Amino acid sequence: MSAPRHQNGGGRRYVVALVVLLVLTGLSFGLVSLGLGAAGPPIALTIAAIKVLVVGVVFMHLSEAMFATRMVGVATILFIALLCFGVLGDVAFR
Amino acid sequence: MTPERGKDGSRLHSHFDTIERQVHAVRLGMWIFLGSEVLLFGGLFALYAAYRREYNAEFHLGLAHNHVLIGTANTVVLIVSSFTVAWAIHALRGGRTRASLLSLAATMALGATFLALKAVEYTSHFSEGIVPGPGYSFAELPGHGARLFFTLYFFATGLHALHMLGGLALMAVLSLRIRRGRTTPEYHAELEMGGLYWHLVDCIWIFLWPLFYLTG
Repeated sequence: MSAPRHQNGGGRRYVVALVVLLVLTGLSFGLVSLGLGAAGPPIALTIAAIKVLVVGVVFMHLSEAMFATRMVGVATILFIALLCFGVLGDVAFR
Repeated sequence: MTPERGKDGSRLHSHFDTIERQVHAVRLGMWIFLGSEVLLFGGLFALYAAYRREYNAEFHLGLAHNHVLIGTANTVVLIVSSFTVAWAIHALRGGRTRASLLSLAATMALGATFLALKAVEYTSHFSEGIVPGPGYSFAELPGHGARLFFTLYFFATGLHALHMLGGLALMAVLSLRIRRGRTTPEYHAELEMGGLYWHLVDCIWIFLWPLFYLTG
């Protein structure tokens, strides 16, 4: 009774998600190992954000979740962004 | 309040009309809890961003000193564990209880591997005098920025490791519930919620890895 709408046929997408996550991990490690300088951190963090999106959408079923549940995810990301940019702004313009 | 057990093995609490509504409420509550957990780590991420801007050079040196191979191995371990926990839920939904239990056992083994590698890393740091707080005595990087970097490193990864321990205990309890027939293919909301928690712990590490190992 507790299964979400996609409950049948989810096995293959889990395997695909695993492969994508491992490839992205290798890509992140490889790119940073090349020594990209100042571009390294934004690239690594962008890849991390994509990986979290894959985990959220596929493994955590966020794409099939109720509107209210999705909003919790969106609000959390916005609050974190506000917190980080607020702190960075304070340090940068002090 | 003891929930009533239906013919299909489901358990409906008296304040819900249907099992479906009950599960929706459980999911929403779990996501709100996960949001609060993310905000807890968010404070540390904001602190990291501020200190990294102030002590950029020393943060780079601190990052270069961390064990990137152990950090990377742990990333792979956690990603695979996220897959195994998702597979455990998928298997139970399909009525494959044994496969679900095996997947949960694999998840726990991977979680234990993660913590073992973390212990190896911490031991190596401690032997060099890299400890959080005033006991820090690492001669190679004596500056204030390096102390801040490693204190943040221990705090963030330590807090994450505590979450891993909680996740391991949760997986053990869920395995026991499946064995005893309390969590079933018909009703397994608690396994789904445990899976969500495990995935969150993985998501947090996905960000900790570049911040403390890669971006030096």
